[in-house]
Amino acid sequence: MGSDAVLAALAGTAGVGRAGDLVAPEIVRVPSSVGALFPHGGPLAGSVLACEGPAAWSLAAAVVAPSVAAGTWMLIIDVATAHACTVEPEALSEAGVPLERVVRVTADTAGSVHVIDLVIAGLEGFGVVLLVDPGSLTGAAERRLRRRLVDRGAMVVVVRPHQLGRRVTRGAAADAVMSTSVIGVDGIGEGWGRLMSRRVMVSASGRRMHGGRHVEISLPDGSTGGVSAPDTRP
Amino acid sequence: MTPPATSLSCRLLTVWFPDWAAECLAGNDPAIVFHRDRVIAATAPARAAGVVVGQRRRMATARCPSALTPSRDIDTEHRCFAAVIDALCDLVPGVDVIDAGHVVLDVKGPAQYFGGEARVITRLVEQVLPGVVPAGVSPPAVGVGTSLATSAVAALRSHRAGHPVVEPPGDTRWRDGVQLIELVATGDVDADTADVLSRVGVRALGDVSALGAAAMSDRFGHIGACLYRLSVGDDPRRPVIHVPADAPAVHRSFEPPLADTTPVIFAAREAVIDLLASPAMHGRICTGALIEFGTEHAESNRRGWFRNEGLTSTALVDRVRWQLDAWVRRPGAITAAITTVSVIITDTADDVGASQRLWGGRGTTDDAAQRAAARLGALVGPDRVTVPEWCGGRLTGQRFAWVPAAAAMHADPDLDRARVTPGGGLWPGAVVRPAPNSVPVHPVAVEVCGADGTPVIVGGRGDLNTTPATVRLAGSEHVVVWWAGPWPVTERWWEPRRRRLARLQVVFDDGTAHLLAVERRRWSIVGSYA
Repeated sequence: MGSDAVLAALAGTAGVGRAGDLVAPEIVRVPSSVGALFPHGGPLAGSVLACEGPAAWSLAAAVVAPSVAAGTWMLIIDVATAHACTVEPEALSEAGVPLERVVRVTADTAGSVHVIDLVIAGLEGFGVVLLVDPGSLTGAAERRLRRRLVDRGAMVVVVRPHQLGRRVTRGAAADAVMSTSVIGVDGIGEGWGRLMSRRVMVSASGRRMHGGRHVEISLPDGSTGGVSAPDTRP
Repeated sequence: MTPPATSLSCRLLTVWFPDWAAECLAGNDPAIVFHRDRVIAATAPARAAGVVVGQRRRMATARCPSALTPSRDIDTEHRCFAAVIDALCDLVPGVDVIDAGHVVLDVKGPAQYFGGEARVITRLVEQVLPGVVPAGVSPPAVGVGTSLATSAVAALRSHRAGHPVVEPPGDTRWRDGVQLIELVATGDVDADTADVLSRVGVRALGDVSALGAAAMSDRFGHIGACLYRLSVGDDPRRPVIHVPADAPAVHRSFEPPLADTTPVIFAAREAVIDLLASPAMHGRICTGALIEFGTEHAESNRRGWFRNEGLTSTALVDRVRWQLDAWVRRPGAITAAITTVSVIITDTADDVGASQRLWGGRGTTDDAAQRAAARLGALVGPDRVTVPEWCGGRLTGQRFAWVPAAAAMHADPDLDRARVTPGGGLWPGAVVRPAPNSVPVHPVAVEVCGADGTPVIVGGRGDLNTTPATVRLAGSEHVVVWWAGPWPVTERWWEPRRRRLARLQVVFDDGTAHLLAVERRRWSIVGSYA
């Protein structure tokens, strides 16, 4: 079972009924540019987001920054692979994530501890879990994870980093899958300037998202460039 | 009301270095240490220029423009203070560490041995401390009292007077004359309570005792009751030498013994979390603790710690780390691996619901995260749970390091913030923001070629022989659409291990952007803007 199975298990936990949910769903803070993709103006607490594409990391950092800046702690679960990359704290800081509330766990897929056990343990104290390249999943772990994620009202963001030489698969089972495509870069030319920002088109899909809605944002600052929805008229 | 006999028999000596935070870092140079833009310590030259504790940063730097302003480094403070504690422990068996630069010791026994408190003070100030205190540190303030509070007030008065101050035993007039504002300075009374009491005419401990226990308790609740107990000399806080027989404690043994400090700290963290969650601690907060280590050669290190505001699990682990660090650094102190660690709670106080501060301070969210990090460490090993720490540097991946959370996380959020705050700005030659957000663990070797397939080479003057057109990686070829650079940098040019490399930013046709580096004509990806 691959990373899609993990996403499926995680996604099944969102929106499970609680007494408090009858009144109003709890919305997680995200930048307004990203919030425009969601029906409630932001993802629901307890939901799972997936970021993929060439700007997956920048988008994930922009999504979690408001929550962490508001006092939530963030856990990064980094699964060691042959193509292992580490998260650069400086980039998180530039996105607005206070680094004093960031903890990273390096998980070994060959070890005895499953990545989902780490997510469950992390949810005891962390409001945001950033999951990089998740591994496989068992049924018992899935059930425990569902209960815990609903209880804690946390948010899990799965990052599928775009790596050279690897094909990116779509994780359609998450509550929201945000696919990125770079439509322009600012500041850099043919031998002059430097990369200052990237204009990224974020396309939203998933069972809790407006179908086909996409938004243009500038990364890493997360400012909006406009929202557009598909023409659904017959 | 007659003070209890136990308090009269207690004689505590406070040794306080008021400017330890600045003097241990800068010595004789003018230096000021700030906390939230207020002066908390200054060296003698800075004080001579008009800098005082509590002053705003702008005013202090205006008074002494040449002063250094080092960031507060609590680990260094404790590391420097360890020698002083060791020297005091050689003289007196019961030493309670309040903070770096501030200890309390039970002076009753030594006074009988040396022939009086005055002789103990003389021996301390003239013989013991001068040999271990770093150069440039001012002589300490020394005060003796019948309780922790009056001992601290005596030290405060000693700092102002310039000579040791002793509370006469059995003389309640001295205690009655202690001003509430002095107790605010020593941290025994909060400023708001002292302000309210002063507005109704209660300004000294004598006024408090005259009001009576019932009046103070009825009007000011728990705080009033505690204050009244102080006013009659019934300070419930005891130095560590009086370890209750039924004190909550945890002991951890290591088999095989541990030669590294990180797993010891991690084991202590788990033990402390269990200890503070035990039923014996329900409704109580830990204010005093005794930490002890042992080795397989029967060497031991034992030290008491006290904190008026309470010792949380993280604060206790901080003290475990400071004590262990000081012990292993002491030459000849430890010759074998560590076999045991023990934490004994020696003093507790009622948990009256210390409320969360609205702005700043440590909250339940922080403690929950600390506990979760400890649990994760138990699952994957303490070295795999890491937090970022600012190191400084020019190259991507060097400026921040991931260090073990068990050793780097602090109880104070300000210290955690200082851990990740870049000092000194961007280094010359560093690639400016935005930084790559993904850094390969090992640099990924690539080939950078021009349009005609010739390898791109960076010349000695930082120029390219041809325009980069493609980047080849593991059999695939990516077309370069935009590029900038190269930016050469030479590191440690004065040393044999100097490095000379150049950086190049490239944007591929699929929208991905990368930071490349070339060193000895070999190109690699050192970061990705993913």
